[in-house]
Amino acid sequence: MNDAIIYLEDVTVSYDGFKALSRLNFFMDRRELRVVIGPNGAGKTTLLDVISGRVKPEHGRVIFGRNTDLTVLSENEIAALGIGRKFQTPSVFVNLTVWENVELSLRRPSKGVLATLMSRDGGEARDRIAATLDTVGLGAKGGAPAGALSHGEKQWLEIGMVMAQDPELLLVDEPVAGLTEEETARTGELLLSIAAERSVLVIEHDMEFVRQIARTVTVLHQGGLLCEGPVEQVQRDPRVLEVYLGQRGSASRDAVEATR
Amino acid sequence: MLKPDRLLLWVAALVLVVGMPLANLLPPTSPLHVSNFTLNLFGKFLTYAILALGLDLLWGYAGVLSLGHGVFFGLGAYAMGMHLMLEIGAKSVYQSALPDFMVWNQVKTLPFFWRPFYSASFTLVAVVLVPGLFALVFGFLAFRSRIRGVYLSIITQALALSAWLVFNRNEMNLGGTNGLADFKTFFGIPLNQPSTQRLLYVITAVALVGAWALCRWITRSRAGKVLVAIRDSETRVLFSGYSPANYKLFVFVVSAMLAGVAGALYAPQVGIITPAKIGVLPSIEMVVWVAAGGRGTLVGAVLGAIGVNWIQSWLTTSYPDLWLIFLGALFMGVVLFFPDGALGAFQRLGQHLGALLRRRPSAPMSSTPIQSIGETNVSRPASRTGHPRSEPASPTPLQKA
Repeated sequence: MNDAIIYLEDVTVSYDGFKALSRLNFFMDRRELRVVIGPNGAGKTTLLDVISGRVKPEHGRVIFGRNTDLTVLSENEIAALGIGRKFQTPSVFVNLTVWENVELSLRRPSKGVLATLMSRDGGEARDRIAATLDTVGLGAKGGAPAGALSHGEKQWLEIGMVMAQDPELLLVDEPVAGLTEEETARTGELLLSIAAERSVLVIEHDMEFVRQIARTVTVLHQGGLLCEGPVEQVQRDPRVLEVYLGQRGSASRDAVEATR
Repeated sequence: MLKPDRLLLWVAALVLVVGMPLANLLPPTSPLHVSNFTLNLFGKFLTYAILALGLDLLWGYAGVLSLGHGVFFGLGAYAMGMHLMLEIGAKSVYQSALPDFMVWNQVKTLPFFWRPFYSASFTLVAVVLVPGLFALVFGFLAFRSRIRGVYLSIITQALALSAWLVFNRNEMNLGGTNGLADFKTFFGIPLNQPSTQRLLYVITAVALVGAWALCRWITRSRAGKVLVAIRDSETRVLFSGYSPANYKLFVFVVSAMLAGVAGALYAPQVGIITPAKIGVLPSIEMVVWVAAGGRGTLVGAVLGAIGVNWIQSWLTTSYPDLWLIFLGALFMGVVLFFPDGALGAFQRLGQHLGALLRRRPSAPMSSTPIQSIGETNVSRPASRTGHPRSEPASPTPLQKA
């Protein structure tokens, strides 16, 4: 555990008595790409909420890096520490241009009001914005308003924005929901290339996509850890089968498909 | 494309700042003469425009709708009014050093909070700092508790109502319902002379230009982009490492200060400030100016403040019964048909005319209709015109958002 990027110990989160996370222990290495799966209500998004500071656990510790306790910090402080979050539905600034979206996301020494009011970007910052846009394939659309992008392009823009924050840990919530097959494949490549330098935590339903990108898979169930391991091993685990097959809806279909 | 707009703006600014007072100096027989009354009226409109700029910064950019800006306007106006009352001194009706209403209310000594207002420099600082500090405390509590959207609007409205009630009380020693009036001098200069009114007009016009420059500097900076980003997706701003609460607090305080300056310039020009300028109704009227002119553009806010009040002064003299009906109709019309206000409507009209003109010589059934549909769906046509090259590239995905 000496090289952990994120470490959750005994974390419990409850909403009006419903335990979204129940004494969860979770641990991720640096430069690891981890996929978290689980049926609806398993606590996947709550896990991201706890790490990114949106939800404060009622019990337990959340440690980032060596010894930073995240439970006492606000969302923007956690973001400034180097934890980026990509939301499930693309969340970009539709009234700003694609370029400006990335410009605002760029990692900076200070994001306070005064600093932001005074500073002007030099060539280095512009190069970084341009490089980020090229990476996500939006290099030619810098001047377009983000509201005019397609759904897939918005997803990539948001990934680009999170990358521009230069995070050590990237939290990605269902990045391929609503994307075409081709877009899904491109998103997978993008995440893999990001994971070469950073730690990435992905939540996903789409098992095809999970197989494309996953090395280690964590399965959550009813707010707790069900099992963890390489994707092939997890797919064969009888407990995973039971959890998924006991369910109805898209998740179980995914799992059936996954076990074939 | 932008050139004629810019030119028009400069001409309008020159006419307002230099042209009007010069025309006032012309002999009354001249066709270009602007009467003292008209100049004074426009002086009042320009103070409203200063307030509208701040309100637009808050609402049009950061998306925070305040229904209580009359309070900040009132704080500035009362701060200035208190100094002007003390300037009257023993020249008042009761020939007491105390303001007349205090004599009337049998107040024997000047209340402690009136005393600093003997100082002219204190007053000049107070007209900015009193509304600013008040907004800082109120905004800090509201934004820290993450009160946003319609809930914030409601509590600002409650603020306006309670401030109105407080200022109406005689026990507050602020003149009660009658407010502060009968000012004689403005920092030693007699107020009843046309030259003083001209001076006040010029000060107001210069203050408006200054306020405009300040707002423009803010909106053009990266912080201005953060404000627009907050309107678009506050959560994304938060997870990008910015504190939306701090940005909203900043812009709330700036806009309250501008409202205070507006109020301070209003009091000597109109000659009276009463709680009627503070309450819920005037605060909502202020929002209507910005909405009618076009929020999210600084020019729109100024245009709305001057335009709506110009119409008001014309309607209330010619058809006094119609004004409130007109105001209601204007607000509903803007909400239902012109969400971008007059400026947005003009721009859209210009684009449609431009498209019509362009279509005529070109081949039939070009892609223009699709684009023009897209135009109306995007809330800020101004920003879109800046990047025309992206439009042909992706006409269809516009509808997905």
